[in-house]
Amino acid sequence: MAQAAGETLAQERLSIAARVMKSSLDLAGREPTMTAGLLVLFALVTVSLVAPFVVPNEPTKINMDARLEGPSASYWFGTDAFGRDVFSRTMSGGRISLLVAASVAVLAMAFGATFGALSGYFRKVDAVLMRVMDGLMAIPTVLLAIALMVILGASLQNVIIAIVIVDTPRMTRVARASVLSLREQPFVDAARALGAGNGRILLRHVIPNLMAPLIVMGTYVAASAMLTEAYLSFLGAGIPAVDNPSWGNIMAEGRGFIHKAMWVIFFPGLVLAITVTSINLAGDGLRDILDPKLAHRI
Amino acid sequence: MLAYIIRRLLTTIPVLVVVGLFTFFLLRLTPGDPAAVIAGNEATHEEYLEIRERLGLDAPLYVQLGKWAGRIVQGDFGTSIRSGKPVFDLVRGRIGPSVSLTIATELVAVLVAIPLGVLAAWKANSLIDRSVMVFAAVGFSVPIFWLGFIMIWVFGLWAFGLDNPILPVAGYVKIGDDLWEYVRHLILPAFSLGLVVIALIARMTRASVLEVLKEDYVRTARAKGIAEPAILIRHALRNASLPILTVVGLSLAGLLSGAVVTESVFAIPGLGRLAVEAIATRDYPIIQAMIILIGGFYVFINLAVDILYAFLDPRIRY
Repeated sequence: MAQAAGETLAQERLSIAARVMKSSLDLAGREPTMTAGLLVLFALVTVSLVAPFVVPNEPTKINMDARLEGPSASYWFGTDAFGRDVFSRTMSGGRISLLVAASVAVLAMAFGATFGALSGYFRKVDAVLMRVMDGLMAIPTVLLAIALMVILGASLQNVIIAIVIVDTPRMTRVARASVLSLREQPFVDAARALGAGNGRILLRHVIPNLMAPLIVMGTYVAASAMLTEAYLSFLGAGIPAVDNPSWGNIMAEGRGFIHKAMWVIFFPGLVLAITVTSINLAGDGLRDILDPKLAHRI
Repeated sequence: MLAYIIRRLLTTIPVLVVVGLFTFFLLRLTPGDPAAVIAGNEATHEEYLEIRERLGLDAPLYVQLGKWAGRIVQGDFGTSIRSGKPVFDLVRGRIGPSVSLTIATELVAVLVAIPLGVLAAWKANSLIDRSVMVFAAVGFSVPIFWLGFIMIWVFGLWAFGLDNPILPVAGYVKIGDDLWEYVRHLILPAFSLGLVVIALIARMTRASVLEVLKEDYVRTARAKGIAEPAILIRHALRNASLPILTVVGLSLAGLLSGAVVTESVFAIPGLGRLAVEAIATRDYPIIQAMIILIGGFYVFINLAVDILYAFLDPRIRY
């Protein structure tokens, strides 16, 4: 008897595993572009993580005898003005760019959820907070980010801070819109009737329900943060290039040589474009699955 | 209608105030004391104090803010630290190229994106639709300056080992000097800046046409035997035009952000380049003027779109 029960349990587990497999495959079939985006992204993250250990050359090693050489067997993406290997730099630069994207997305989501929840829930906070957000949104992203970099000074950390400030208003808007409809839901009334205070309602009932739209928005923010980092570097207000190659600053350094050494810009830009595209595709798919209504708002 | 416009107009005031406050504090928060910079190392303490007084830096912050706001409202943006010229004159000289680039880009974007979006909606979920959508996703993701350099590389024929550009790859010609050259100089910048806008408008067009195609009157039109192109343009696109119009208007404001980058790539002497130059040389009065002007433009465009929206669709009253 006990043995039979064990068997059914094992069978049930097996069938659950099979169902999960099947439903993920179904999902992949329904959302082919999202699946492609996720796969490419996964590959890029993996490559970026192992890059420091496997790239053929030291990314920061200067070799004045091999300046601006075209792509070859020893330098796949060619070399830059200091004879550094563009392939090794691009592969290692991914770590910085992905770090910026991920940190900005997570921080902007955290601030967006907090501000959005407060703003959507308390009228007085709303009046002040949303005016500040509107004001920040009125300034073009690139210009605002550069202006912030002037105040903060050039460093990796400050690039992340500047882009978080630029992207938080958008996040807050999405969160606030959801909170405004959530606060009218019966389960919020129920919680209040049971004696829950504002803090508990916000933390336990409102914020968890914000996660779907915020995660979707988070992917778009990650993608745009990566581009903003590149623009900042390109305009000379980004991460100092000395020992932190990022896709943005590798291209910025190659800018003077497009005539004769296009590869210095071409390859990092191509990898950046592929990465941002796959994040955006993943975001689109995620949006369709998690929050179909959002399709009309973005 | 008038009441709505006035109400909407009033909502712009707090936004402009926030932009103004941000700009004011941008200068105060920046490391470094302007008076010390102007005085230099040789100055005595008395000279330094005198400069501080002349610049009004010895007054309390709120007095400085009040005086500053008063000047800005009168259109006095001060003088450039570097060139000593009035900021207002410097900015005025840069407006032409930026406006030209913005209009050219928007024109290119609308002409490409709307047919693409309609096509994608018409053939929804087909290979064409998926391709347009992937193209749009790519359009959002390609760095503007990278695309610009690729275009320079290709159309400058450097990609083919030559050096005789078939299209101008840098600079700007005034419309009054030579109309043909004016247009030719805008082609590459407009396309490289336009890709993002094409993506944006194509997506919005697809979504709203798709919505309209489900309507009963479209089915009726089909049942009457009206040709598909006529249905798409007269019934679908016309009724889907409001959200498209909104996104066109908003992209106009967003273009200014991209123009900062594009003008730098194609050496166009516009507002964006002025801003970048000013940031590189820490020319704060110019940076302030740029943020206020562009922020103001953004607010104005938003206002115009909202009013136009209410005008075209009488059901809308917020």
